[in-house]
Amino acid sequence: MKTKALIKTAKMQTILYFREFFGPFFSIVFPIMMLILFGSIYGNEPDEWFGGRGSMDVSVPAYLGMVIAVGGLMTLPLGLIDYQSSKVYKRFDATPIGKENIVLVQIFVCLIACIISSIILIVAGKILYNIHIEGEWFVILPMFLLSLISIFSIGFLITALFKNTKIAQAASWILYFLMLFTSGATIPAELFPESFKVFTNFLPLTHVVEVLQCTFYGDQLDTVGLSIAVITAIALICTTAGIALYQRRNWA
Amino acid sequence: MKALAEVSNLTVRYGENTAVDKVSFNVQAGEILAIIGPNGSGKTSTVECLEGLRKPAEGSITVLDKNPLSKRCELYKELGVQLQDVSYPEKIKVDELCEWFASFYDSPANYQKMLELLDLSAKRKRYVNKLSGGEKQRLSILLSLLPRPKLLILDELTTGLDPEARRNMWDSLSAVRESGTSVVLVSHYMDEVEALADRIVFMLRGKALYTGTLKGFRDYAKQTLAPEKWQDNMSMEDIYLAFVPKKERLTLEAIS
Repeated sequence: MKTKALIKTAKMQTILYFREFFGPFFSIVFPIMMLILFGSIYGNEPDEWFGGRGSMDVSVPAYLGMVIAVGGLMTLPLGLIDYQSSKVYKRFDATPIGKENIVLVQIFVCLIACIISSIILIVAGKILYNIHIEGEWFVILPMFLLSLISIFSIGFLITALFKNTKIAQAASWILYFLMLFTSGATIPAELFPESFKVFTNFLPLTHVVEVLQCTFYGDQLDTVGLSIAVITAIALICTTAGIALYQRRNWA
Repeated sequence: MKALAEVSNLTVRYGENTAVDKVSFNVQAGEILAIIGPNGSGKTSTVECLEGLRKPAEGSITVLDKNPLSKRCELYKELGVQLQDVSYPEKIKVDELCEWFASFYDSPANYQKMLELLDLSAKRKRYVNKLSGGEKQRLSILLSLLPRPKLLILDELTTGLDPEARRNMWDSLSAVRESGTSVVLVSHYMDEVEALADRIVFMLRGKALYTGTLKGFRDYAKQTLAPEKWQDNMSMEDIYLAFVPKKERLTLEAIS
């Protein structure tokens, strides 16, 4: 029964994900629009400014950070907040599947959607601008998954921290837009003044973009050792704290 | 006969406020037990403890031989509930929701047939959030019946239904009882309680003042109420109102 129920739940959550405008648009359509817009302006010719790489070679791993941010800081927390505030979890808690499984399936569906969006973005970059991926996939994939888990854990913690729907939504929106435009995920970090970078180094998404660009360039991971440590620590702390807070919550 | 549910000295607190105070009752096989009382008397807190959705401060509860808090998932294979004040995911259609909930059970009831019986088959492709209040209520009752429950807990079953739909729901509930399912019914409608209930639990300010048959409730009221309040021809609703403290009424004079 449980496997059948979980498969059905995953199927329904996937259908519901695609019925919303926000998630599919900002995680699939919007990054492709950015790719085409900036690709058509700058092309992908090697440039000294980007260390001999093309503009799109640099931008695609950064846009992956944007895809992860949409999933982890917007789609996931807003979905969890919606189910909490409208007492959908309470209704599922009065069934054999329980609310915990619904939360896990929601996270799973958002993660899968993010991975699929990322694949679409990379394939589009390859087809449209022949982006160069110099790194090895066995390095890129674990670092991508670590980045994914790290940013998702922040969204998860937000929903566990704030029971008030409006505060939780505001926290998600502020974090998302703050990081989107200052982490290098949309505007290349190379364009930021040094003084501004001091501030952006405190943002988790900055470290995610640095790690993803490093793995795509095929650079040694120790050049971004601090960033890997930061996103690992965030993943561990936010996940543990989020689970602990959820366990104490009164759902009735 | 062994009770299907047993509640003993149940106490629920919200901070300093005691919402349910040492309440005890049981639910017998095949009966409809109504829990009645004014708003804030602790009815919903009591049934939420029965459902394993709220942790009591004190007391013990057994439902279908299980502790509802620790064996909730097991319990819900045989327990159907219709909750007050919950909703369903946005943008889900009626038949999708039914199919989804049916997947939680090994041998669920036939929801297609129930959609027809509850006059919802024409709405099966409609989004749940576009249904009227009465249609949503009927859908939530359908979902509560999917597990073919041994015990059904209905919190304000007919709130939001028009008179005809209410009467249809009474017939359905009688049929459910005849099929062997026991029912705990929380209700504000005394005509409904009179028509359906075998026994009642009358709650006031968190305490269960009376547990027993409807006839017994009349005897209890005759003995308990002040003589000037008692009349032999009092209806169930009159008796209920005689126990409930009168609230100050809104008048035009009060507004001006």
